[in-house]
Amino acid sequence: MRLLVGLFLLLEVNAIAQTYTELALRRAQYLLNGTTPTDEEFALYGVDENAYKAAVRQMINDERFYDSVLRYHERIFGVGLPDEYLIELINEDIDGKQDKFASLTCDRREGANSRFICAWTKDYEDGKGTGCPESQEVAASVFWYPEIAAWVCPSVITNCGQDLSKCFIQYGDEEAAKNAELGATETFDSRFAVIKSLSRQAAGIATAIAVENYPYTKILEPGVTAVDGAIAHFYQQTHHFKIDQLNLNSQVLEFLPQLSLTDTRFKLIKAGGDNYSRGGVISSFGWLRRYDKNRTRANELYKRLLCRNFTAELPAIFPQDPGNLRTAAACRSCHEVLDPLADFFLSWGEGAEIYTGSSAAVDTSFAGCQGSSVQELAQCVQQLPGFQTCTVQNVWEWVVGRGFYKEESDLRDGLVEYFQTTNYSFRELVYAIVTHPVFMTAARTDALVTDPLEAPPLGEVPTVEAECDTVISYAADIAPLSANNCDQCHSAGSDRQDLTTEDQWAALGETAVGMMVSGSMPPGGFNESVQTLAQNVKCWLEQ
Amino acid sequence: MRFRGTIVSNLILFGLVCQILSGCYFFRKRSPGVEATTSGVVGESLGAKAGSVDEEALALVHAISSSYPAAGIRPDPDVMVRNLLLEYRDLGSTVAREIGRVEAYRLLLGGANQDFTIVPQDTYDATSLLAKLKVAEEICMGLVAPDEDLHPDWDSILPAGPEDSATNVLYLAQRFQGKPSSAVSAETIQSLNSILETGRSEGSLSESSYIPVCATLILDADFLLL
Repeated sequence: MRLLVGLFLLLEVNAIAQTYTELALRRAQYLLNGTTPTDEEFALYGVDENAYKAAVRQMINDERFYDSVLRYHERIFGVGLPDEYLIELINEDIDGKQDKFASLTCDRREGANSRFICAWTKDYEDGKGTGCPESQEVAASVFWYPEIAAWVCPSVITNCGQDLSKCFIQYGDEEAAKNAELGATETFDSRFAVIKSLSRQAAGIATAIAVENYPYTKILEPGVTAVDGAIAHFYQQTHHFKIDQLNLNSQVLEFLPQLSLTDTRFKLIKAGGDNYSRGGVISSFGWLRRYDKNRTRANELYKRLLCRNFTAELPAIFPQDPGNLRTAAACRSCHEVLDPLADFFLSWGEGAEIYTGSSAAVDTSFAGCQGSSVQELAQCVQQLPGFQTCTVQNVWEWVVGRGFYKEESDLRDGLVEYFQTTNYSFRELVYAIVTHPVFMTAARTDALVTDPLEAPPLGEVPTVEAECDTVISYAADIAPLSANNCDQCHSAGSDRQDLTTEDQWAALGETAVGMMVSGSMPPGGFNESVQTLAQNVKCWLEQ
Repeated sequence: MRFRGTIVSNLILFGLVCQILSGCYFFRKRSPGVEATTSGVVGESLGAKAGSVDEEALALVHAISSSYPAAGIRPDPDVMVRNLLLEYRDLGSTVAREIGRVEAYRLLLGGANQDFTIVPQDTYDATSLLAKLKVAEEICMGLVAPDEDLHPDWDSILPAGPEDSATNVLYLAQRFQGKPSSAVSAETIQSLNSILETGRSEGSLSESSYIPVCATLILDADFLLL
């Protein structure tokens, strides 16, 4: 008995203060995986810095890292869509008849051995059960939860397919359905699942890029999108919704059979062909519909991807008709940048006319980049040092809980340089910050930064260092290298900008050099041949 | 018979103590370091992947010091409940219904609205703290004293029977304060035991007695800020 009492005394009385690695472990594990360390994990990973760093590496490789990064991107992009944005996409005139929207309502019958049934919504609402006698009901699989069968009338299978995927699904218990996850439960409602996934699509693109460890600049890659099971289900409802008006790259619909309808994770799709109006996250449905004016789209890009704000002192008396905002004294400080930036989005309509209200493209410019399309804007922003620095700032604020102080300018620059060294690896950037002494220290400060570091410089389009001590000839020094590295895609008749003539190189050479140096083009990366080409073009343009 | 019963109960007690020491708990725990499944890219190639760690360059970054530490971070109010539930429960309709039961409080907690015109709160105010208390009570019932009708197939996360308050209280403190059991102070245990005693009914403790203990810990400073 006395032994037991002694044992309890040893165990219970003295609480040991937490070490700084234990505090860091707890914070990192919650932020990156959404969980709290157990005693076992503290004992393994909280003992010293090396064990802690090994744990952080495991957290980044853990499947739960995806959820944390998805939530991070949801907050960074701020895209959320109300339910009515889905309703406005409904094809109201199916087969020339009103109210022909074919939706099923599913629920479980009450009582012993209750069957899971799916019925035409009208029959369900009229209290007709499945709409046919029980003896005629047949079993169908359900695409959102293959582990169960639903009992339906034969007409349902005829119209909705054996797995019901061709029809829109509603669930009796809406509150449960709103929070149900695809593939995990019989509870499913297409309305909530689809609008939630469309809201998250921009975040899904960036998260898939980040978690798969592609260069983070690819979140703005023309032709890149991401689709999860709910969106794949939605894109197949071509008779119920105006899918053709979403201006999707046609290849996206061709790839749909390769996607699982129960996949809760966004799968990357890289579509070729004409991507004139596309630029990764900034041409996702959520971005364009939520930020539904071109100026808003431009402003949100400026704020969220470049960490800059349009702010100006308004005049004491605002002119009633300021005229051209780009030149009006009270307005130009913002609008001379904002409006040309907004012009890149002219291929998309505004508001509910997103699908049909495009305007003619105009030549415009932003941050030294010339162009007229979302594609060109995206390729420009990919290269901007301001985008890289803003990414570093956003990740820093996510895990450190505050912005940078002015005296931390070297630290921010160091992290940006490291981000570039790893070819824009989001995972390595997170690792670098979460294992930095600032993160690991036990002390805590206020989230309000009293002396903040200024907005990152937008930067110039990156260029290459070159000793231009020889005369460069287009025919001898540029055309052959262009033929090897560029002509495969950038030639007459292709879907990309033609770069096979001297005039074309003269007009677009500076942009091309920036894209080569930043690694955006060609797809194979910045090798010796590409470097020589970039140097030759630079010197040739300066001659 | 009484002698054998004493040995059995001592063995059970000893077993529980061993489990506490080894850090093995009665909850559904996912293995750390489970590799994320790769999804790849459908369609054209996205080109080369980004790089991996550069230890030399990383050391240079880590050598850049700062006199400012990190700030306290409030767990995201929109995913806090989901994260808490998924530490102990599998995804499914019961989790969905549980989240739905507290959905009405999400905006009061400081969560974002559907279109993000209201962004998630980074700090607490009186409203969000009060909402958190209400949410904590609901979630704690599901965790420590699940109801057969509301939470079918759920067991309590308490590692021991209700009368073993020492084991259970220490366990809850470790989980919700997010510190090793050895770092949980005696004062904390004492306070939690006092709260637990208020839930004693007819001289006995039940799983429901632990709901206020669980809710108190969710409102503790260690849970409110990382």
